[in-house]
Amino acid sequence: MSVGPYRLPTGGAIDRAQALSFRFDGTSLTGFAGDTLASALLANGHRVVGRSFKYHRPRGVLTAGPEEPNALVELRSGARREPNTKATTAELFDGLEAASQNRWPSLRFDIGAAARLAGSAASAGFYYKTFMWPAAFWEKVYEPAIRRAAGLGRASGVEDPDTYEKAFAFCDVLVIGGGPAGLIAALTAGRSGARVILCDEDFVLGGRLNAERTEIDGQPAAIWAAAIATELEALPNVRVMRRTAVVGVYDGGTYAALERVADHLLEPPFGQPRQRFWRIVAKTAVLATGAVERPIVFGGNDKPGVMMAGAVRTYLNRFSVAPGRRVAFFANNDDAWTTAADLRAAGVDLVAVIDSRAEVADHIRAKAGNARVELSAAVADAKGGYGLTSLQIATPKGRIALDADALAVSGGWNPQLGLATHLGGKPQWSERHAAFLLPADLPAGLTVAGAANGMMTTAEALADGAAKGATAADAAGFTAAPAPLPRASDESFAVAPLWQVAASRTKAFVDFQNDVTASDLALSVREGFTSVEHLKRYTTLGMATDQGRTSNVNGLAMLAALTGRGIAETGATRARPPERPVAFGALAGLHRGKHLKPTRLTPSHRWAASEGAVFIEAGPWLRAQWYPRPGEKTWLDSVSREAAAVRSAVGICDVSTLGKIALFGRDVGAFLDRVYCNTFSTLPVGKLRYGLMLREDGFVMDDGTTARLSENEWVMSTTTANAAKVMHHLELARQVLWPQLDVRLASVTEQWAQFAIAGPNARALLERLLGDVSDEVVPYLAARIFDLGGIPARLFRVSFSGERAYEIAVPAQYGDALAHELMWAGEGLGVTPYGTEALGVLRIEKGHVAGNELNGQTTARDLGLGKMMSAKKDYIGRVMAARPALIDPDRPMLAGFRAVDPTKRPRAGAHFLKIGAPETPENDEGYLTSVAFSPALNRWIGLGFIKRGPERVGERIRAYDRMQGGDLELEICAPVFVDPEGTRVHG
Amino acid sequence: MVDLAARSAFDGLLLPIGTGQGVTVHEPAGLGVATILAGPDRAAFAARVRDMFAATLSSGSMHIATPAISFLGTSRNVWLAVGAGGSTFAADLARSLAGVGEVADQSGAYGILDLTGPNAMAVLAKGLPIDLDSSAFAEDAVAVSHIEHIGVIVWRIPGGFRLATPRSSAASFWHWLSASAAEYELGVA
Repeated sequence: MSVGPYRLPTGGAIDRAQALSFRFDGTSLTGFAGDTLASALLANGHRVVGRSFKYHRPRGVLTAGPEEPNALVELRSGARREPNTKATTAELFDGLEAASQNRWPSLRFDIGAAARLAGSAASAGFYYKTFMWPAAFWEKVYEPAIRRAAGLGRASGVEDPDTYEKAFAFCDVLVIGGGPAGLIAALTAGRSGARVILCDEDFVLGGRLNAERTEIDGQPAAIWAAAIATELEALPNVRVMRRTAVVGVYDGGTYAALERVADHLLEPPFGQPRQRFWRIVAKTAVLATGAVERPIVFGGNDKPGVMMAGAVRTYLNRFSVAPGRRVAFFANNDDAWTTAADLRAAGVDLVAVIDSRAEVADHIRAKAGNARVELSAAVADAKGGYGLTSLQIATPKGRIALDADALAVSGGWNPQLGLATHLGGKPQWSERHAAFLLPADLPAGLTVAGAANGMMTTAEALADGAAKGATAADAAGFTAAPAPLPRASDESFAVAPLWQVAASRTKAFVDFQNDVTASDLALSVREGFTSVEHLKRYTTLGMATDQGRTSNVNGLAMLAALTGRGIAETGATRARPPERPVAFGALAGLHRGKHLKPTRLTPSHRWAASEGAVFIEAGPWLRAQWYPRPGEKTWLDSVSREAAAVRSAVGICDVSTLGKIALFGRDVGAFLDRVYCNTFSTLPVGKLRYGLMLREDGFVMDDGTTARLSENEWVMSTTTANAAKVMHHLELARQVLWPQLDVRLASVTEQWAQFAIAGPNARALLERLLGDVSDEVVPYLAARIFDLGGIPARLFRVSFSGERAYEIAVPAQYGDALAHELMWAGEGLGVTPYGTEALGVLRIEKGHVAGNELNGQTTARDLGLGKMMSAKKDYIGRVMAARPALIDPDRPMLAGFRAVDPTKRPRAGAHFLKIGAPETPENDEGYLTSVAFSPALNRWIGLGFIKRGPERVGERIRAYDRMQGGDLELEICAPVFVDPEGTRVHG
Repeated sequence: MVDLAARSAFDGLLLPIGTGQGVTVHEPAGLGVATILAGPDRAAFAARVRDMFAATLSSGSMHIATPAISFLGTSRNVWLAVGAGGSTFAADLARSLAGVGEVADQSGAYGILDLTGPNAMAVLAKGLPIDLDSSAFAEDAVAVSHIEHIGVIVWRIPGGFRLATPRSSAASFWHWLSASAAEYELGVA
């Protein structure tokens, strides 16, 4: 087993006893537990990991963390393949499969790399300027070609076999980041007794402490961090969440976090999701997200082998991997010189130290030992075809060449403040840090600690973290005792800004992931895109999955220089959630497939299923649509049979989905008079009445019946769709408009299973269950309560079909049993279950309006119900319903329609035009709302709204439906097609 | 004689996922549920409740438990009452409160589940946006909330929590519960 040619013989936080096999681009390799994919690839000498987005240039590993712009891979295979995974954060596991992306046919021989030859044609904004004509080419030629050329990896294209879930957590103190400041902040707050949650996206706590050879309290920093982690996990009031990135800050102390529960495993264990999306509500929070090192813009700075200096230390010290055989480094600050010391300590050949500054303190310079040092110098160009081989260095004495296969670069450190700006804060420029620091207007309850707060040394970060942890705990109502600070070195981080090397002659990259070059920025400024927001959009600087963590500051500093402004004046773009890429699956959680939203089942759902029902989604409900029977070839066969059975015998339909509201109190009658446009206070006990409810604006809100069960108890039914809305409406009226009325409400929609029993045999069926339900006992529009085997059963004499009909209601737990009983009672009477389609047919035949007509745009008058609007009382909507536009005689009004050719099927949604009128909006006379095939009439019929409809009965019009290709001649008729005299309802 | 058999909300749905060592679900049988609406004379209502049930109800989200009935404050002057008695529970309650308050039977409206075990709170954290820590959700607390867009009323019972959720959404609720509790070896008692 090879441990990899670049793996150092000792050291690191890897478990050398636990070798892990993995594959990259089909090649079998070996790493160790504790590796990331990036460290394992580097250990095995894989310096090229992928190709760049636009130019398909070979790219290697630049960083060792989530800011990585280059080393994006497709992780796993098959249905679990996930593109754009950062190799620097992918934890190695046994059996891992990864593939490079953005190349074809292979990483080394990539056809797309030819695009490099067309470099100037692919400069910033090229797609705004090219492919302009011929315009017809855009959709079929240009766009597909661009899409093929671009892209970052491939989605699997098949259903994800894993699950994702959402979760909530609450705490007094949320600490974001598990580096030195975060650890000690969490410990300080935790010791105070506060409920603390510590989130860190790494799988090992400690942050930079795991990457450095510094000491804390006389022990290696990583050991100190591990001890603190152990203590934190022992505290019952502290929750440590590893592999969890906080990705968003929202109002009210709410934070979003993504936990990668099983991304480090081949497959999630039984019952566990792959990822979990958290909403954390915290009284206070400490942002300790550290800082990210920034590159320097010079020619060829994207060559594989060019790496951030801090990342070099991470690979050396945490993963025990050498970045190359001959390593140089290029910096503008003191901190980076630590890299020289670490390279020497690891026995790696340090070929040169290049610093842009003219002077470096002796104790800093000593870290390079005897290595060659070039001050006032800069790397002008990095050379190499498939990886770095040499450097061109610009010095005061001229250009010199140097062989090197790795280059550590440091342009200074940027505090990571993205989360602090999610609620609109604007970062402030600090000349001392050569970086943006925290905004003046931080989110409420959030403080910033450590390097994120500009405290760039370990000692500073620890002191700041302890102070902020105590402050946060105090603010949450606890008393944090001051603890002695650990001893730590106070390294120098002095920096002299260097954004770009002017002497570069080759392509110099600002944004690696989007292939944005220094030339692109200059072009953008020449073309007038001089604000940071315009620059971002024109060049795509900072817009990729890394959100410009390594590129933004360099880019806007260069913009400042190009426009002759200061950096503070130039400003920075604000971040918005999510701070890290979040899979849609994690946002959706369990809401996928048929569980996209909760489903409500009717009380008789099982019975309906046993009857072979075809179900349809009606809002959240699943309702029986029709019940196919053997020999029926189409849905229309079934629906027509069911409708005909209701007209000739008896049908049963579950109508439990209708909203049901219980009303109690002395003043319910007066209350109903105010919420319905017709009168209810005169309704006697034991009776029910149809009611029409208007909105404040005068349009119809809902309809239904309300029954008076006793002197002070009423029950209202609403449409299925408006059940909740009507309940809210009534509560508003009761609590806000008329609190003086004695009215109390309870939603009882779920409590009652309700069935319509309709047809000439309905009475006979019910009498087998209830005894005498004759017209003397249950007259039309009566409401009675029966004892049904010890169960209270409510019986309402009401009809939606125009037939003699009843609705029977029992407590929902008996609904399924009642459905079976009704079928039993209907034996020999032609009993037939019917679904929502037949229900629709029957009501259209009778001209009853429903949801299609109560569409929020119609008035009582439009519906032909104007006479219901009482002139003797006030009610909600009365005044506004009298607006001129709402009583305009030219408003479309309800009418019936039938095709002149009875075999033709009109389509709901068709618009009405006069015969011969052009199809223009000006000629629109109304629209068809509901259509059904009437088995009673053996033809298609419909309801709709047409100008002055009732006056135009007998007129022919054109029903024009451009969407569905319909163009039919219809005859206007009365909306009641069956039994217009209304005799059958009593029959 | 018609004899209608009652079917509980979760009838046929509760299937064990594991051993129950982390969390167990149980659908108690024979419970009655009713909405109580205090009448306009609040003092008379309070006195009747005291006399009949030895309970002092406050108009807040509090759970007042008596040996026979749990009174759950669900909104101002409204309580959900849960107790033994099944189909006669609401009628009995209505008789007790006649003249001072109204009672709407809800025994068919809700499915009731008891979630117990060391991981009960962890399961609920996967759907309930409520802080159930004892420092925030006291012994006598009740929450009217939602899980995965399904309404739920939650209160404490020994060793766990009792949940009331709309009957019509029982299947969807079980989908959430079974998926969320699987890692804790959900058992069914």
